[in-house]
Amino acid sequence: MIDAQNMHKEFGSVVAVDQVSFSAADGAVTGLLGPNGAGKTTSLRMIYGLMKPVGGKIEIDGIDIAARPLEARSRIGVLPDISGLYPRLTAREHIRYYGDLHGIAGAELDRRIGQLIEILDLTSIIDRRVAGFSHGERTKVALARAIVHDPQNILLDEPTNGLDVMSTRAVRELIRHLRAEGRCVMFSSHVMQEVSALCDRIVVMGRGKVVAEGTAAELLELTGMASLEDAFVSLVGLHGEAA
Amino acid sequence: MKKIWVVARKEWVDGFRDRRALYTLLLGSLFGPLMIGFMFSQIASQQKGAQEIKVPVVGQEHAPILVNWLTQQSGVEIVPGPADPEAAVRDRKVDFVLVIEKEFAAKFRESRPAPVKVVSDVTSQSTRSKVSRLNSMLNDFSSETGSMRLMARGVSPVIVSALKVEQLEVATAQQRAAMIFNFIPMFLVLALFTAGMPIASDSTAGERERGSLEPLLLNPVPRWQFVVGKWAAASAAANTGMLLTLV
Repeated sequence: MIDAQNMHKEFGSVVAVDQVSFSAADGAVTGLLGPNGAGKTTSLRMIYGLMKPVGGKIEIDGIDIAARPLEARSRIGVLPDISGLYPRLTAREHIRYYGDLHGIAGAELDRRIGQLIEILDLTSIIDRRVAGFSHGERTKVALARAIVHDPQNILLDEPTNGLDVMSTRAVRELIRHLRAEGRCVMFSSHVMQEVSALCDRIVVMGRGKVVAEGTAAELLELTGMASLEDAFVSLVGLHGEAA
Repeated sequence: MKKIWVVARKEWVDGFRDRRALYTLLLGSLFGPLMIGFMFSQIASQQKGAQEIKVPVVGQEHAPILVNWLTQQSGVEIVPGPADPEAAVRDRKVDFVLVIEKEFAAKFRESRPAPVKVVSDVTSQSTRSKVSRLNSMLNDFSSETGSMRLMARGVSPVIVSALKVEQLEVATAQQRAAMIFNFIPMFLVLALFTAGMPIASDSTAGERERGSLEPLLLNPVPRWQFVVGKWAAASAAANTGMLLTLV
């Protein structure tokens, strides 16, 4: 459960995120949809506590990230927009490293790694060094690393960006799997199909503000458009002109 | 606290898989010993070189007495000198040349200072000890001859020496050789820096460049523990380099 109230962030004179509020429920996939530069990544960064908001309150499962950052962080798993792997370590070592940092030890960690290998189909690459990996393989390793500690909340920043069909399917599969387990999944994207295929709720952002919020059907109804893409363009576009 | 160890171990493994870091560590730590070894062998070969010298002499015919005396000294071989001594030394064709002037014979006979020239190049390191050996032989000849002349005139040669200076050197030969080891602290510092630098830079700036810093900081570990862990890994590498140098 992620709850953000009146998040605000400015870089110099640029208002990146302007009084944004939304919440993401357990057992649901929440999509953060918006064009490039809408403030999606900045919002996610504030939620996982790497960036301090100027104003507002963010709670992860009821824990204030500003007050108890370590506790809140152990309840979230994050896939940032760049995978950020170490080329000289193997996939297993990556997962093990983060597991160790989360304080998972010995047999429990081995069991967890076994699970992740199965879910993400990592068998063939698990003991190879990351240096030669394809983009899809890298994303899988980064994903496995992000959820090694079995977090209740999962934040994915454009997870399917630049992936081929097979890898995209694997990531979608994982997201559905996580939802079925009753977790709170939130991901940002600017790809319509992605959002409409997966999301239970959609938060549309444009120019640092929440423009609209609801299910895909609700958004269509709101804008009176036939497709989500048209709805999106009309929401973001209208707002852009108003601002 | 255990997390510090986790971070340090990861950086250590990562660093050791980096060929560049590994080579720098080895090179950095071997540089000192190699340098000292080189200096030792250089000094040894110079001293050895001075024991057996070839002396090119120009104008041997003017001073058979000096040439004979030189030939009798151990390890000395007299060879004919080049036509243009200065050019030959400048071009490093010969290490040095002893030139005996024409008026040597006449002046020597009259017991006046007989002129000889030693042509050498001070910038040539390897010939320095040979030249100084030649100079000291010439001094010996000069004072020996002088003493004999005084005795021939019924004067004790002792009276020309007002002082009797004795150099008492307390350092043993090993101790003098060990002066080279004064460089060791410098090499240790050098090894410390070169060995620790790759891991230090890779685990901080490198982490940022790769974009792996952001996910790393998302782990529920206080930042100071990351810093200490990375510092520990880098200083462990630095100390390894230093120990290698010592060994």
